[in-house]
Amino acid sequence: MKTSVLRLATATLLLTSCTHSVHLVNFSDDIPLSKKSSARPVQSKAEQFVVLGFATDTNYVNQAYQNLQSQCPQGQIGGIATKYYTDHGFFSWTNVIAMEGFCYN
Amino acid sequence: MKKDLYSWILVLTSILGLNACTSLATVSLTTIPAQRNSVVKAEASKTIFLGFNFDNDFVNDMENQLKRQCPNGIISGILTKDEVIDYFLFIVWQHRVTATGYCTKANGTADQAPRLKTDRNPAQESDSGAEQ
Repeated sequence: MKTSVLRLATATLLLTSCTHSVHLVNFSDDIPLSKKSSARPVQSKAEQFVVLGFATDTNYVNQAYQNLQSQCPQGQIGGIATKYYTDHGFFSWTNVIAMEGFCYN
Repeated sequence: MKKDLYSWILVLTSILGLNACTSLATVSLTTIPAQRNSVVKAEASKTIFLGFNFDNDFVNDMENQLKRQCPNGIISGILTKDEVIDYFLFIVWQHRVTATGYCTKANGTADQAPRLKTDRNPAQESDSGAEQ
């Protein structure tokens, strides 16, 4: 009985994305004080699903970068927080890049 | 049975070894400008064998690479990626650093822009001060 519960718990832990690791958090310069009230938040997120380490590029970062810019085509984007983290799964993991900033003119 | 297992291990090892697995080490992003017409790019890489790496000087020229592409402007919105590409079972790998940004015109031109205080020569200033 005890063994079954242990096995079930282990399987659950392995089969679900139960651990996460943050690799880095980076901040760009903040936006000017005079623009704070008019600035609007923009955010972008891109993911890469990796099985057993097989990944041949890091283009998802560029996707997040382009996506962030597309939300603010005419303005500047400042105060950007860039987060890079990984959600772990069963013999696989998901790399995530998340960018959050403020669009202002 | 054992032969099959060895064959599978060999196949898997070959697949793992012959594929260039890429992973992201670091990423950073600076403030993105409104003018995004002029793209500037710089790239530097270094192949490392068995971890023998004695310096990281390969990245030093990247700043100049960017500056050369934007001599009279300001570079911003720089996305910098540091990737590690494993070529063969972590025996040979490559560090590749790429920086992509935008060159924007300063107010007026860069030549007309006020010079930074770091461009001053304090020794000369004190000399001229003494003369006055």
